Amino acid sequence: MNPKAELFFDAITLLPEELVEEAQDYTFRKSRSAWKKVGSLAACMALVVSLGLLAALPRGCGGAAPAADNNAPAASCDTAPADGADLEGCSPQEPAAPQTPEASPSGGTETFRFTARVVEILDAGDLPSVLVEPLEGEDERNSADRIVVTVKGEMPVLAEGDLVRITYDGTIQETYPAGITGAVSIEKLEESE
Amino acid sequence: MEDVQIIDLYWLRDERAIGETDAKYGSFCHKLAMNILHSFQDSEECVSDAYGRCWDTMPPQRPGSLRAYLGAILRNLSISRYRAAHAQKRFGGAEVLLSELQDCVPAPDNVQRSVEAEELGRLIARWLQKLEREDRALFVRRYWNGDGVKELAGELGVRPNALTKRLLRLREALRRELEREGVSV
Repeated sequence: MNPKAELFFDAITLLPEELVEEAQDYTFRKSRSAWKKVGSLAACMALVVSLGLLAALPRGCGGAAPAADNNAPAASCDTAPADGADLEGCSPQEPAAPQTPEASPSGGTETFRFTARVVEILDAGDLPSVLVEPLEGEDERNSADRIVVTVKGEMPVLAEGDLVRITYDGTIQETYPAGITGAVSIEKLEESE
Repeated sequence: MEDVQIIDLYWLRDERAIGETDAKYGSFCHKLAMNILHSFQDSEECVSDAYGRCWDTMPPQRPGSLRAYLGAILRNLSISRYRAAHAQKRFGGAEVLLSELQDCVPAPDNVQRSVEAEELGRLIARWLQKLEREDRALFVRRYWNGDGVKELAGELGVRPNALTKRLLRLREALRRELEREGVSV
């Protein structure tokens, strides 16, 4: 370690409060070209949200309306619709009742994925946790460059530097490091993936 | 809660002081410690120690800015932990900052006096006051907060390479200022 550089570090630690506070509250002016990037990102996010909403709409068979009786099961090829609508050719529907992520991960709950690099394996008691850094280009990197991911199920054997794919419920806690407690899975990837 | 109110809790020895401190500055503290240590568990411990240090020093201390006071304590604790563990591990955060700060060391040609950290700090503060506000904020965010170049470049809307050059120019300007003052470190 360079003692002179450390002296500078210690000297900077002693900077007056006013200088430190001014910097914490200062908002940097973005250069003009950055706004084009922000606009593009906003357009992409709007597209993703729209597609997500479309995907979340219940799949229906043509124009057949569901039964007026609220207690009737969701329309499917196996049950006769109350209004007699023709359901021929209708593909089987997913159950209308809400599903928990554990019960039907590929069902009604939307999941998100991102690729990251393992920074540190954490000892968090009962639930395995890992500190990761999302790769450049991942949307999650806009939330934080460090995220603590807690998995409720099994976690593969990981080491610092491993490449992983994380599937989660979309909720990121706005702390630092950020936190994902609703991780569905962590999958170790080969470097070529 | 305002800083003054939180500091009053410390003075009253009210244990809510630490909870309120964590609620207001927890993210700031974790980020600052992580910038130096790049270890979640080490930074957690340093933040916890920093809260304890606040409890032990207030009273008699009554800082004007709790954030700056906490940050200074945390920097000292973090760099101490870094120094203690340096033989065993490489730390990305503090090593990068220290290697950049070497650029600020003045050449020994015109040495009139050597300085300790306190006087060097006063000289750096005087130099910072002469800068444009943005350059001043940039220097503090990089070398006091330890914020990464990529992060700062994102806030400025510039490429990291461009920011690296800007920071180098700032460090060289500081070095020239210290050489003009005739100091050595």
